[in-house]
Amino acid sequence: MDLLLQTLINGLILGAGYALVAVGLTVIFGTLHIVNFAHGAFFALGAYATLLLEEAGFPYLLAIPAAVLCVAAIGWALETTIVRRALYDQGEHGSIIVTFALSQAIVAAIILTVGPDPLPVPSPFGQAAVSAGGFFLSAQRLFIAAASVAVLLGFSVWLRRTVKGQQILAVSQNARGALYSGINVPLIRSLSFLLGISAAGLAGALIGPMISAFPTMGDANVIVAFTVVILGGLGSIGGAMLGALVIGLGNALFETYVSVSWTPALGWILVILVLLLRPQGLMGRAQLDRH
Amino acid sequence: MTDITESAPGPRARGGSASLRGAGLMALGIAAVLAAGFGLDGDPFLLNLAGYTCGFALFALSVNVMLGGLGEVPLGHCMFYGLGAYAPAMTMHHLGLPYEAGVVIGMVVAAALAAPIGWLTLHLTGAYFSIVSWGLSGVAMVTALNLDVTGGPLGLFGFSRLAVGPFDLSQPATYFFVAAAVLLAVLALLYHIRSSRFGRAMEAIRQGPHLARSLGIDVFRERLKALVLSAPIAALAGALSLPYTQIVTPEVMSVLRTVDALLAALIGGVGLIFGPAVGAVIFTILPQFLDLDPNVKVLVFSLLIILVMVAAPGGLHQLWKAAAARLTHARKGDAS
Amino acid sequence: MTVWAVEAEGVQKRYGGVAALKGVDLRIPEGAIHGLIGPNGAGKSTMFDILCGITKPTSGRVSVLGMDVAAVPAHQVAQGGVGRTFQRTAIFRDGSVRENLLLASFGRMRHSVLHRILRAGTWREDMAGFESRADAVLDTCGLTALADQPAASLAYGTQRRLAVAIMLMNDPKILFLDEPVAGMNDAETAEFIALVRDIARGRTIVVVEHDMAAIGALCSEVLVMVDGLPVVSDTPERALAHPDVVAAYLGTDDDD
Repeated sequence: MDLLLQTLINGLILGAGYALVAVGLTVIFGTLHIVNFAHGAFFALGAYATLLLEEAGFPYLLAIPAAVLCVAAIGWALETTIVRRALYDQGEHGSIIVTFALSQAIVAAIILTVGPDPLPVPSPFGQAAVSAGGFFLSAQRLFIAAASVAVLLGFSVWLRRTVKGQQILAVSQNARGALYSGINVPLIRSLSFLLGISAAGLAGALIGPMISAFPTMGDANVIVAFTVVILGGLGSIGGAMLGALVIGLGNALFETYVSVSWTPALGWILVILVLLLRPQGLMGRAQLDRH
Repeated sequence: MTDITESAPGPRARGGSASLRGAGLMALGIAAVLAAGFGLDGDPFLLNLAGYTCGFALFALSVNVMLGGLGEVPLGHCMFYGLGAYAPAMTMHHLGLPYEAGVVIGMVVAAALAAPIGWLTLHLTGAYFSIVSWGLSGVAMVTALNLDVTGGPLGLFGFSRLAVGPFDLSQPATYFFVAAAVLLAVLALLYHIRSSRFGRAMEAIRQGPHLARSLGIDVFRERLKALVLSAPIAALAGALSLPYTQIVTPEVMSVLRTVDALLAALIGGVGLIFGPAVGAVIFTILPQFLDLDPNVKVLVFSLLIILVMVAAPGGLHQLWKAAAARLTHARKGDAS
Repeated sequence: MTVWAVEAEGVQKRYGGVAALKGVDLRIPEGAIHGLIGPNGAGKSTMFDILCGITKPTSGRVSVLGMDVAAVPAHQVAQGGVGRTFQRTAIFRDGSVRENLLLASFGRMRHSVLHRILRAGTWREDMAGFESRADAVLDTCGLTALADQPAASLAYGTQRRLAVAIMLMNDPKILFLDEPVAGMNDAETAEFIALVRDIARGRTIVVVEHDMAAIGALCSEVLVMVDGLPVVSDTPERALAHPDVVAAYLGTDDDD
């Protein structure tokens, strides 16, 4: 019973981390209608930026926002040079190839500049554990959960309460209508892309200390994020959060009760099942182009 | 994106001359193979690499059946490549079967597996299809890592005899000629497919699935046929990599393998039959001669792809065509 | 006795809880040019898709050219001699005008991969046949001069004519046109009407259209639909003068 509760708590915390990656992915899909296969690379960039900033003397808590800014700056550069030209209103397979190639290029660039080996990302929370009511939680996990929830709540409020946020929602619901009502759609798309990859960078900065930084660290996370996002319905922010918790719990339960070595396949099996059985997602917003 | 003139001879290239052109291209291919084979004579390393390149070109062609044929990005195609490499390795290792039997088994299993996989997944298009495809290869890789028959993370190695009939593939020259012959045969097959009913249907579907359906094409069935056709070609490619690699590990199913093939197809041009093959040669031989670090290679080629997609979505040959058109245009301008 | 190209009875279509069609009867005699009109949301697009076999009705009987299109997959409906154009012009964007037509001739191609290899002779004959068929269709549609132009570079009205030409390659016995003159200028519309009259010989044509002048110029009879139900079926002049139709058009905002 205690093991079950411990597993459930771990799963929920894991889910909060996934939610951050997934919300970024879903915001980009909602407004740009592309699946960003480079999302995992921006996740890795977030972790490496944090690491390098810490080596340069930044304390962890300050390194996180600075790292997010770095990722956003890189994202902005890529957005203006590549994404904007290659992806908007182009055929879908072009966007898959370009974002995938982008992720390969970023990973290769990381290997060439920093090296292929895993590097620890220092965190003041270190290996400390918090004991509460008989359960042990790593302090870093608690911090990830708290930061994710805070950022996601802030983001939700920002989307609903500000003009820019409302415009993002408008574009994701009906780009043409938004254009006719005078919204600067290209600007909103660029902004959404930056927000999306910044979320991935933030997730990398938060999760980095737990798994260390390595060039392909984003792959596993982005795979889970695909599952989450598709489960929640592509483009649906609430769905992404709900999906993240479901997947977090599922992963934790599987790892504890079934098998650790097969856990990497679980994400894939889930994403396949979700796409085959319920492609419109749990929240039921049909988005899929099926024949 | 596809150069339709190849599948549908235009007014000036009616049926007869198209066949002639096909024969001419084939003769050119054979000449290139012979020249390369004897030109490299005595350099076992380069001959081995050339043999491997032929196998890789086969994989690029297989990927291009999906990419250039249907307009889908089959990220998980490496699964069939890996299956083709594992099949002879496993049958030789565990059953003592000859290599050729393993190759055939791998191709049959790949086609047999592609049918239900396609039946389940080809209702999906675009990014959804790519994700599911990637997912299946991820599952396949984890499976190969965890099973005993596949040798786990260490894989299988130490093969006794890699030969096709009397041809011993451990001889670099023989390996190259066999791989090149297989490549040319598949090229010839694809060339004829292009101008058959099936090839026409794929082209119509790629350009407009709804229009294709309204012209009487069973879109789902033709997409399924394309996958079932391309899977055994990928398996054959995987099997042909064995004499070069001498080992099969779960890494063979890494999505990077598919990405390499996609890059090769895009560099050469997805619409042209010979494009992916030429792209494969550029992609493997050039880095070898330039002595590129594998990561520099990935970086350079990824950026190249992005450049191609931004500037010329049909492949580099489109850039050349555009440049040529501009040149002739400029010349005409001078004349007048 | 009249031969009916289209016979539909009690056609209903529900999407979730919303009824798009609430029981439509429609009969179109063979060889007619028939109109399907009504304000936005009247259900004419749904009816159109059902007749082409793309959408399956919730209930009711639909027969087109004697085929039960509710039971037959869309591509088989097309093979049975049903052609259609799309509201958003559908052409093969990567080829020239002629290549578009040749690609459309797929429906009549006999050569599987094996046949293609073993019977190169008959393949060549067939290809030559498609070429001459394409020449004829190009001529009919006034596209001969543009045959080698890239299809995507054509003017809007010309692209719509190409869309019709693509369908003509398969010689459909009935052709459905989905808002064919929408967005065309007057000259293009006049040209298009002449084309439709020309190709109507020997086949049935069904037009969904908002442009009442075009409908009046083309159709012998129109069915007016309002709110998922047929209101009146008559000649264009009389149908448009019908009080219920006038009320329906006045009551709604009819700009697409």
